[in-house]
Amino acid sequence: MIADKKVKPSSLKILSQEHFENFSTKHSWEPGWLVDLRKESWEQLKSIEENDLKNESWRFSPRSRFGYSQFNNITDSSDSPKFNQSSENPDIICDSVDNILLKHPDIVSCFTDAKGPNLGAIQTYQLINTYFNNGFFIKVPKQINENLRIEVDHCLPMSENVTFHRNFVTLEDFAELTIIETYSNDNHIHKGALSNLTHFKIGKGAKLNRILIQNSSRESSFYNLENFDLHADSSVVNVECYLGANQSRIETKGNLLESGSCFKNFSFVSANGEQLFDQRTEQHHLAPNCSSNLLSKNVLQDQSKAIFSGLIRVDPEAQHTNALQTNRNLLLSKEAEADSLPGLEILANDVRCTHGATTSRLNQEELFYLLSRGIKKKNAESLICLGFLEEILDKIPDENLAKKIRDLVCTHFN
Amino acid sequence: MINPNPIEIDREKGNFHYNTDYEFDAGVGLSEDVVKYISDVKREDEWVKDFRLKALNTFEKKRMPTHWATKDLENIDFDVIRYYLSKGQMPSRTWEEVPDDIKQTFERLGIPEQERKFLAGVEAQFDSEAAYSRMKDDLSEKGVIFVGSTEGLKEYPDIFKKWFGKVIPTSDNKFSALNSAVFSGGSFIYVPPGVKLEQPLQAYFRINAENFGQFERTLIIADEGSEITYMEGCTAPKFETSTLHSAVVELVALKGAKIQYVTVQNWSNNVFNLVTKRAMAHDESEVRWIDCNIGSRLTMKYPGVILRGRKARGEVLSIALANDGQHQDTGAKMVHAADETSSNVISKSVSIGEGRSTYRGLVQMPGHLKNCKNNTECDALLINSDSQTDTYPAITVQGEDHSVQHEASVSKVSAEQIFYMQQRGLSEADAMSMCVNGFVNDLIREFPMEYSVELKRLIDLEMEGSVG
Repeated sequence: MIADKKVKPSSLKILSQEHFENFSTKHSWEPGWLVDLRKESWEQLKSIEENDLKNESWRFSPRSRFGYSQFNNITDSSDSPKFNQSSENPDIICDSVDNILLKHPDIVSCFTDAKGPNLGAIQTYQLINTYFNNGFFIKVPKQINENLRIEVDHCLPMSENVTFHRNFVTLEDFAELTIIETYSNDNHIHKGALSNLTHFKIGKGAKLNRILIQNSSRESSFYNLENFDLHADSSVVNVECYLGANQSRIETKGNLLESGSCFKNFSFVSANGEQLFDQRTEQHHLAPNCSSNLLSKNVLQDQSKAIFSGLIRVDPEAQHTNALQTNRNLLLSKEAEADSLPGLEILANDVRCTHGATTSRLNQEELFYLLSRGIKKKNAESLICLGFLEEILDKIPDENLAKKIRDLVCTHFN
Repeated sequence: MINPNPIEIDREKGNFHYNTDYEFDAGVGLSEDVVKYISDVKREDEWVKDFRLKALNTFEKKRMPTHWATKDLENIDFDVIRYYLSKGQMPSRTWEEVPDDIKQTFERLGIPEQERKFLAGVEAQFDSEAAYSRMKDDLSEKGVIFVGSTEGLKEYPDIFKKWFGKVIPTSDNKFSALNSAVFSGGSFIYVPPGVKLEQPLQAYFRINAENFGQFERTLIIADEGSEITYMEGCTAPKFETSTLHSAVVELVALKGAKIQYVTVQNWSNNVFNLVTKRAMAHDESEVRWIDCNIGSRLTMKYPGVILRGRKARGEVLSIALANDGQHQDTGAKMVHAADETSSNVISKSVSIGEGRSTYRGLVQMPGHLKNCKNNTECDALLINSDSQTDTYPAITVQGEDHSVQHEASVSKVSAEQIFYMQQRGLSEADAMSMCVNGFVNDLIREFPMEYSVELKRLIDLEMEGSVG
């Protein structure tokens, strides 16, 4: 999976004008809309002021761990995700963005105006738009619901390198798809940074089941921006498991655009050492009769830190909204830290919206019970934490996969 | 569907205005000369004047907090405000001595009557200075001090100087800096060790002049094992132009002391109410903020408690009613800084018509502490389809020894509830009013008796006409 091409070291930082101009020259063959997009994004990137970086959307976040200034190498487009597809149906498009841009760039061009989640990581967003050279593209045509399952394996770049990917998932009306994305690379090689921007377009009545497992190298950086657009009566169940990387910034936004749509977002973080997980979410209700549910659970050991910021936004038109948001944190050590910023912005009155956030230690009685049965402390802790996370693992339809994730969580307790 | 048509019957109580001649007027706008004028008129010590001038400097440097707060703040024009207006610096000790035009204002508001009925002491502030201040004689014999800010700093510097500006530093925010530069009026209270006040002390703040800014400064020190309840009320006539009210309130609860601070805020709809309130709670002490916001155009107020001593306890109970043209941006801050401290926040808000209510919370628990607890509940009720509510808590917890829970919900009065009560013969408006009263009832019960009756009536009236 390792990119076999050697990338030439260059002394130009990716934030410098020269670097961008070099990049543009190399990509001059690209269609006009893409050249324009890159140029426009680069201009916008330069206009980001220091002040923008200090606003509420970065509250509690140690900004020094989320920069790009140290990078001078962008991995080239050979670093593509790998696919494993359950169906050979030729109508289904499933390919790398690199290939799509070479063969039929037009099918990507309709995404030029697609917005990111816009929850604070403007620099990452503009950098991805400026420099992306690969990613994955999936399109499931109308009415295809043959238990379609696609697995996507991502690859993180080598140390001091950064990868920018844009991914596109389109489900046409009444299509169904299960997509499993994994980021699990060799701890000793893939220490670079991966920045992902993913768009999900979910058509009328379509169903998406998405599972993401991030267990990348302990020295890597991970940025994941994702935007879900849900049309009438569609549904999304999104399960995200975060175990790896030294620092992760995750932005997830669900836009409930049309009546009857349902967005469920479940995620957990299991962190130890000095890991940092900065997770920002938004459930944006733009239409009536939609529902959304968000559950975020974090288990934090050692000096790890998790920030959860979630917003439920209900527009005046979105009457009869049912929106929930829950954040639960378990702290297992003195230095572990959990920051919660659950938020509500409600502009419609006929709604039911609640959020809850709790933070505490392990239940001491449960722990004592296990210890008194002769179970070692670390094992007892991992058992209780697995039980705590089961509420989320439960949402994974594939039992083998769920078992694999449980094993990964257990390794955090050794 | 429910139509928004709120009328404000009870809120009219304070909406009257008598022409008053002022002997002391610092003019319009803010400058070093205005600050010096205020200080000179009050014959303050040099250190107070320096404190004010430094604060002015800080105020000019600080930026408006519009990156997180509402843009409505930009509508405040600091250059058209009058910063000091008074008839004299010494309050009268009897109502007879109070100038007639001021006296009739307070009589109409019922202050002398309340004093006779249930208060241990009253201070009535008219624009910049207190017109009347009196406390029952037996309390002064016990050593209780209840004076205005000028008198407090001049007569009792050894008691008040130690804590003045220590709980809320000048540079805390732009408005605390403004207050520190031009403060006038407010109450300085000291309760000696072991003294328990059975009846509350009250301050009443009245804004009478147009284009005026009121900047009272309150400092309450409850010495070891003492207890005090302090209540404040406020009104202003409705002017076309906006009025600014920016207070700084500092509470210090020493070991084992109890302070209860009750606010019923009923400013007219042209008042910007930007207040900084914070308490320092020492070992085993208890501070309780009871906060009811009904009036003003924009209120930004987040009472806080710094839990500095072991086993200290902080509490904020808050009710906000936001009607058309109002934004109640309230909340609470709980900073845990010692072992075994606990805090509780209960906030209920009702948005009527196009009103907007916001809750902002902050809870901090560092990792070196043991056994801290926080509970936060915020519930919002939306009455009309244009009503708006926001909730923005921020919770930071470090370490394995704490427990924090936060819960918030937003709902409307259900059609079933209204329908049920209508079946029993209640009108729609009565049914709605009953639901709202039920929603805030468990909090109103925590208010002192005299206030809870008054509050229930206020809410009834505020709700009148908002349905049907």
